[in-house]
Amino acid sequence: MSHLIVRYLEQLAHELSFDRSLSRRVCEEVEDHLRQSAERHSDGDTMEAERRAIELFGPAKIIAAQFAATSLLKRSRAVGPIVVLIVLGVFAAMKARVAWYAATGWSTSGSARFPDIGVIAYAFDRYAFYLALMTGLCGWVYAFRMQPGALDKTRLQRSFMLSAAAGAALIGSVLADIVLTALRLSGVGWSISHLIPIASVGIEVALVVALIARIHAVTSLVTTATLRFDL
Amino acid sequence: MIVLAALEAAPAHGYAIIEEIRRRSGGAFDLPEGTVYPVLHRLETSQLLSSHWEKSPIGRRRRVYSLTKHGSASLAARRTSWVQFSSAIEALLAEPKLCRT
Repeated sequence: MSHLIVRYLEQLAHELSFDRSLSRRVCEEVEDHLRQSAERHSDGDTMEAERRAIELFGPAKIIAAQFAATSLLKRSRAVGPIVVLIVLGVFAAMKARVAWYAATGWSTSGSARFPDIGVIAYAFDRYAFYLALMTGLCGWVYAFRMQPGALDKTRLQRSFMLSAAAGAALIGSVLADIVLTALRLSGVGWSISHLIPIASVGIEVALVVALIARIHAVTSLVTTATLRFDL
Repeated sequence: MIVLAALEAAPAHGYAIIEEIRRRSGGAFDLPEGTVYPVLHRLETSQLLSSHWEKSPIGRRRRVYSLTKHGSASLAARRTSWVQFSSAIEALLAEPKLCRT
């Protein structure tokens, strides 16, 4: 292989660097195509054959822009199920904690000391969780209904806003869980058994952090790609 | 529809699909070659195509695409629509028969 195809593939990889797995796959696929095309147009002049193959293929930036639209759609679609799975993960951690309280006959003296805070936090937790689940499901369905083809930035933004709203509601729900757990633990002396509810809240926090990181990563990717290709 | 039709007979890799389109259209569809790959990826995202890596006879890895059941059904539906549409246009463009008085 002469330098022309190598340089073209480097440029294509650079243009697709916003999505590394796509970049690897496309470059390998395009390399096979260009080599085959160059072999077909070869009459002894390798450089000219490669130049011709690249000319027939088209400019790397234009090809990359066409891939970007599909890639962004795929990434956006993947956020919906992740949001819903994380919301369900938080629900499982919360239910496991409540079941553990019931099984061990855990004292509710802490909650009894601050009944108003407990009632408000419980209501907030419940409605924030329902909101997270509903907006997460709506975001999933909305993103799934987006058609591959020309990138619809408005629909993409709406889809991200639904995911972000689900994330924000989930943060509210987990914060309320932290308050409720703190109230439960505050009324009794420290024991090793406290680690169980603390660990379950820790799992909820970790899940929310993972969700924020995921939404941030996809949003950055979309921003980079739309700016690069003026989509 | 063009890409789906080119894959109807057998699975093929990108370069072979372009060749097939060129051959079957008698050179009328001489597409810019690079534009076919984003279309293949888009059709795969829409689950009209599936793909897998294969080794070429000279040892290079290449992505081979094939129609899914959904893709075959979509092609059949598009073909029916096209036949209806082209028949209608043909009827419209047909030279009118002159009436003798």
